Amino acid sequence: MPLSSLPQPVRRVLLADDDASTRLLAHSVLSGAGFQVFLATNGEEAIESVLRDRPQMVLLDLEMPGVDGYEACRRMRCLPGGVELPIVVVTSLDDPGSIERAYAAGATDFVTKPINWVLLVHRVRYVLRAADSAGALRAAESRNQALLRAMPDSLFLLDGAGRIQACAAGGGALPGDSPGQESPTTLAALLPPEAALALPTLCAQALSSRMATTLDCQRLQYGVTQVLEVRLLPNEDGTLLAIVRDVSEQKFAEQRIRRLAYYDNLTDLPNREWMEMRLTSALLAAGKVGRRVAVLFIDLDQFRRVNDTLGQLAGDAVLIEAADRLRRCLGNVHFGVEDELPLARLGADEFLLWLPLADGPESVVVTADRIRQAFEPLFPCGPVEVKATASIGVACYPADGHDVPTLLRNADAASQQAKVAGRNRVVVYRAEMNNRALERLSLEADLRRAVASNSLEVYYQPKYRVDDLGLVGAEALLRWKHPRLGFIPPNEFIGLAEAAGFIVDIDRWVVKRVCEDISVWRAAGKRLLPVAVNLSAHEFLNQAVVAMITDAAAHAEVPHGLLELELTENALVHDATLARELLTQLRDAGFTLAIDDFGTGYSSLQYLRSFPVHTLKIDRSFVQGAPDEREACALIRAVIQFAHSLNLSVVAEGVENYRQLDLLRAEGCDYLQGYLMDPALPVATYAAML
Amino acid sequence: MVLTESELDRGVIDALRELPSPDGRSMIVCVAELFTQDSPALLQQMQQAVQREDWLALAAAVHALKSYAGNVGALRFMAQLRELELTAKAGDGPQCIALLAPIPAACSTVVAALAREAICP
Repeated sequence: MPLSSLPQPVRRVLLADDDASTRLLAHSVLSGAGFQVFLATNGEEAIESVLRDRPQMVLLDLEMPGVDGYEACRRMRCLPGGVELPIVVVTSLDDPGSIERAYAAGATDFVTKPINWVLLVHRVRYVLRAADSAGALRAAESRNQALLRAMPDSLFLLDGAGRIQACAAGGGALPGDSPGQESPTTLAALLPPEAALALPTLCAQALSSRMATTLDCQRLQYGVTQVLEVRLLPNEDGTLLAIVRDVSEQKFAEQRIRRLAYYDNLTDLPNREWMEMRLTSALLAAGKVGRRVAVLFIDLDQFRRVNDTLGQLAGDAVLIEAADRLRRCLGNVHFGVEDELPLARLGADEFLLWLPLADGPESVVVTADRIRQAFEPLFPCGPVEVKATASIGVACYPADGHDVPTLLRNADAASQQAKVAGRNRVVVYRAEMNNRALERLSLEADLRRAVASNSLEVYYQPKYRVDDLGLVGAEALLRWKHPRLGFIPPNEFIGLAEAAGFIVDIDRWVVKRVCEDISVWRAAGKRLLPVAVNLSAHEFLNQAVVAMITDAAAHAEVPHGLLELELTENALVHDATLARELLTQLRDAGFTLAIDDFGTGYSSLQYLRSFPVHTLKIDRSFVQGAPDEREACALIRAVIQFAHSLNLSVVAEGVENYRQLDLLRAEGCDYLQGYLMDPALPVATYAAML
Repeated sequence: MVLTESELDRGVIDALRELPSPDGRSMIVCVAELFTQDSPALLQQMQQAVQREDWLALAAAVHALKSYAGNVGALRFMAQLRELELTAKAGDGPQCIALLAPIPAACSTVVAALAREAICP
């Protein structure tokens, strides 16, 4: 609906006249024109009506008995809203003095008697419209005033020389200042010195270019840095409008955003993105003057174990301390940009720093070794102290790479090499490292993907009684068929997973898989025989191992007696007390326990006696030596006798021929597995044997 | 300005005829009625004011009647009243008495003329 067709509210008009004929006529004429008319016969009644009826306009006869029109007009002006009320006095044309007096009393306008009634309607409309416009103007004005008052900016009107001609907002003071007692004569007098110096030029520039110009300046305000933005807007008449705004919040927000984007919240070190920008420009600068740059890749040793065993908060504490140690090592080394250390945190426990290289790589090895040593003292971590040494790889620009990604990759390869070589050391990159490290890295990534996508497989190697070669169960063995490289030997990828710290995930996956397979066999009405599962030392020394296995069994509704858990000696002797406790818990839960690869490790018979295990497995290396090697045969015999004396059963692994079988039978070995009978079989093949 | 023989302004009278009144009659009828009703009292106030030699009260009463006269277009009568009002405000007693003398007759003429207009459209 267009605005003009909206129903107009009825306008209220008061007429005060002692003349009944005038009242009658006015009422008739104005009502006929759509006004709501109130009538008064004298001044008192008129004032009462203004208070009561809130007319939007008053027609006031000047000469009335009692309170006359002049007095009524004066009093109406003092009523609430009376200042804006249009008061039109009605007077005779023959008394010009009365008009003067009426204006003095506050009249808005006048009409003369005798009243032209037709014209009066137009006159009333005109006066009301004028009052509306004035009202709208007043409202706009007060809105503008309120806006100016509420505006945090200061507004100055300047002449071409920067002299203040008027202050539109801010009372002649800068944002944040209380309005000054003395009005300054120039804007420069208010600004910090360097901005004051620049101001005249900028004023001239703005005026000549007819373009707004901006100047940012900083000052200390109550000990806090305040950033002011001065915008100069040229006017047509050669004056300038200067808007001074406090943009501190905005500037600090920008800084915060910058920090969020380029800094690591935990250690307050720059992140990888920042490093890429800074190192790129450092390389560019070094390249121009033919200088060399050393890039140090610092990787904390076994950091994941801190996170896994003591929790993430402990890990965070170590990282914060590590960042501090690196900062202290660098001291005041600035490289390129003032106030910025050439140091960044790349990822979880990886840091990168870069240094100008004066001599050969040997000189940086000294620095790198100083950093390595800084990581040797234990890290305080709540109530305990943890070890987090550093493996540091060094690569040099331009010899080991011309760009950031290459240098980073090569320094990383060197640090991996430092880890392989026993951790807590510095290794300088050599070209041949890269292939090995790359291969390892990509294989590791592939393995992670394989675990995540369930594309590892469990194979079953059947286990037989030596006496009658009856099937008694199987050992579950992990197989990984790499999409490109084919089957990867377990010892290779298990080692990789152990080093990368996700062997635990793999163990869990296998236990779950085996339980599910057993569950499937049961559903298919198969014979249910026990399956042996290998647990890594990492998994076993984790307190949650018992819960992990019982949960998996419960989930697949597998009786505990169908699961045999195989552990290496090394897993047990590492922390014998804990091992004994965990083994006891597992045995009490109904699982069968076996010691794998017996004879290759610590082989403490004393310990073995105290572990609650059921079975020993003779390592394949002894079986392979038999029966030709006397030593192997003697060992097999000793193990079998020892095991039987402790009421343990014995399994021989890797049996490949009948001569070995004959020997084992002769020595009284209980069970065997190996190529002689079957290799590890895919699940479907094994299931068919059940 | 065209004056009728009864000294009423034809334009004002015609305008009054066009205006509706609250009770549905022509406005000329209503206004004539009011003038006829109220003028005797105002004339009486004038006489009393002169007797009291209260010239301001005389001026006020004259002013009021002048206003009525204006509304019915009695321009000549208005002019007479204006002169009297100014004289009264000036406090010129003898002159007031002289000017007041023809007023009642003039007022009767206006009343009669209004009556004719009200009755004969």
